[in-house]
Amino acid sequence: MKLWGQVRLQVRTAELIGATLLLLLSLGAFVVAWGMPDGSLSAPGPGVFPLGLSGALGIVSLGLMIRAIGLSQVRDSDETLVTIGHQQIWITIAALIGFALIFEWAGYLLSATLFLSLLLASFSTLSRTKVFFAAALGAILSWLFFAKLLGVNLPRGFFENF
Amino acid sequence: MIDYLSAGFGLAFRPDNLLYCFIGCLWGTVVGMLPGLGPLAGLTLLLPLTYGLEPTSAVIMLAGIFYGAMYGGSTTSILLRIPGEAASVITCIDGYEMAKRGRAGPALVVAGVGSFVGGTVSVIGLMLFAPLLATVMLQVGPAAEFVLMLFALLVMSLISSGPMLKTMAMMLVGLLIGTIGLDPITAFPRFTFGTIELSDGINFISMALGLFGVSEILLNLENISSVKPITPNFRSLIPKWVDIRDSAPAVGRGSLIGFVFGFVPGISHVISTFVSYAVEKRLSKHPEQFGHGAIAGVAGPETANNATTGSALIPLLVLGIPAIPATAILLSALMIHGVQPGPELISKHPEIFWGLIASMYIGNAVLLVLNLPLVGIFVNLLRTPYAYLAPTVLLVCVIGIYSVSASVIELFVMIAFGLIGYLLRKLKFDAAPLLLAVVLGDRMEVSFRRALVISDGDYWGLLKGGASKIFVCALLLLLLLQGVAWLLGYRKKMADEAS
Repeated sequence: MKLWGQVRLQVRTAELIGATLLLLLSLGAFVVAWGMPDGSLSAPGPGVFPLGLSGALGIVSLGLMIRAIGLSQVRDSDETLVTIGHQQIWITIAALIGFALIFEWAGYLLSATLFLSLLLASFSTLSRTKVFFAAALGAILSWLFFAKLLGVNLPRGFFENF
Repeated sequence: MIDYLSAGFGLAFRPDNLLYCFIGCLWGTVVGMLPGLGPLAGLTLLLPLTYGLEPTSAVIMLAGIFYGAMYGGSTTSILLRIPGEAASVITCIDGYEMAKRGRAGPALVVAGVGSFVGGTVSVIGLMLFAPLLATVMLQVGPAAEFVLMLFALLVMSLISSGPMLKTMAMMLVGLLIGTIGLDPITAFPRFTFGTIELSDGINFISMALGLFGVSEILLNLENISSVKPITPNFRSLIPKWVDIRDSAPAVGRGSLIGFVFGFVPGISHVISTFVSYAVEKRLSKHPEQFGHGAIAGVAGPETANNATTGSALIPLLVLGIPAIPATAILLSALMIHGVQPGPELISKHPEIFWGLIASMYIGNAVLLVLNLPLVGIFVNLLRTPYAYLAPTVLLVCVIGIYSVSASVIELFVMIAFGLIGYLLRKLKFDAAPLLLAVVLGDRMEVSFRRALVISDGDYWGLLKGGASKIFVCALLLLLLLQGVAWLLGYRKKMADEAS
């Protein structure tokens, strides 16, 4: 079965992307750190450490880039490819983001039920009815354990006044 | 010392602390056993729940997870040929071979007893060496402290199994992340971009949970599969006399190797198992049996990885420097409770130090009981489909973060770091040095700047103290050894074996 959401990269390309991202990060940090007070030689200011670190990161990133360029370009085979992403991963991240967005507004019980329903429906082979009941049961049990037994303050959302 | 230890036992035997010790050991065994959830993920998952506890109780529970995971990791290695965590990789070789030949019982018993002996020897070492080292370290100034932290980070990059440049890059990113927020000396805002949320820096718990909890789940989602473990019965657990005779010397040597390697920053618990295996194979009268079910190949490494636990705590408790990522979580737990680990910890907070020591003695005994007669119950856990386990763990992550911060923003930080952690792993970057650097960065900078003020801007002054010279000499020696190892091709061989 073909999975959606997968990116397949050659090892060299993946290494180059990694090194480039680090180089961009170091450049960004360097520019911001440049604007911070640098103090004196005997009393370095708040900008010295970030400036030194971003400079060092830039040099290391360049080293990684050179190392990546030096890697041999080999023909595509499963062993030589870096596979990033998977439909389950994107579903999980979307579910987590959705959970975070509605968590305080809808309350723990509802958001946790929806979150678990989405993930169980995606990962398991259970029927929709079973998924919903399992998710609701999971949400209620976790609420009882964390909120009632351990005293964790979880948002009640709609149920605030009940 | 006896008085302090008995006071420590008094604390550790308190019913609530016994319960926390048991919970820590149990959770440690479970996360060590479940492939994909190691001690780091286990610690980060339960860390938020320790906020309401006393510092001693929190440390007792978290330390239980740390050494409990070392016990649990061996079970899946022996029964499934899947290492529960990195330090049990080498156990797969002979442990699984023994299980295939119907000798899973003796393999589990030897691994369990070896772990108990290694863990106990390690606690004795911790108890004897930590107070001595603390006395010495009280004389050390900020210059030596800075050099020591630099030394720890450089050693880690030198001995890491992955490419050195990648480890260094991760450390530098970690140190940069550590600078986010108000400058610790002048309160100048750095990388906050005008937001109040970033003025305290990035929440360590959200970051750690994202990097090691969420990313671990994401990675495992790529390969959801069910497993069929070999389940030994209780009678088969009893080893023969020949098993005891063959494994006893390996347990002794493993204890020593593990304890010594525990001091080394980085992946000492993993390296110690490789070294122990190599030593046992070299000393064996039948080296040809290794790889085909040699009991010493299980006893040595399993003892060694548990023997690192006590010595790995020495740099944390005495120097305030986490030698391995798991102890970085413990450091964070202590700091959250307002306890600053370092040379003064033993004198200022003896209840934490001696309570922890006493609980580790108890915990090792608890783990022996948990891991041998109850092995069948734990094995059943492995049958839990990942389709149910993954959502449950993610839900615990969300609750954990919210219980600490009561802020949805921290949930987004966790998700972002979860994605970053996943991408780092796919691109073969180790996130552990990043976490260690975040923890050390702040103090490293303060030490550096204070030392420069004291030496009036003399940068060579950083290297003038006796302690600084020792660390620099040790670093140069290590560099020399690395150079020799590189020339002989040993480093590449180790990296290949580790991967």
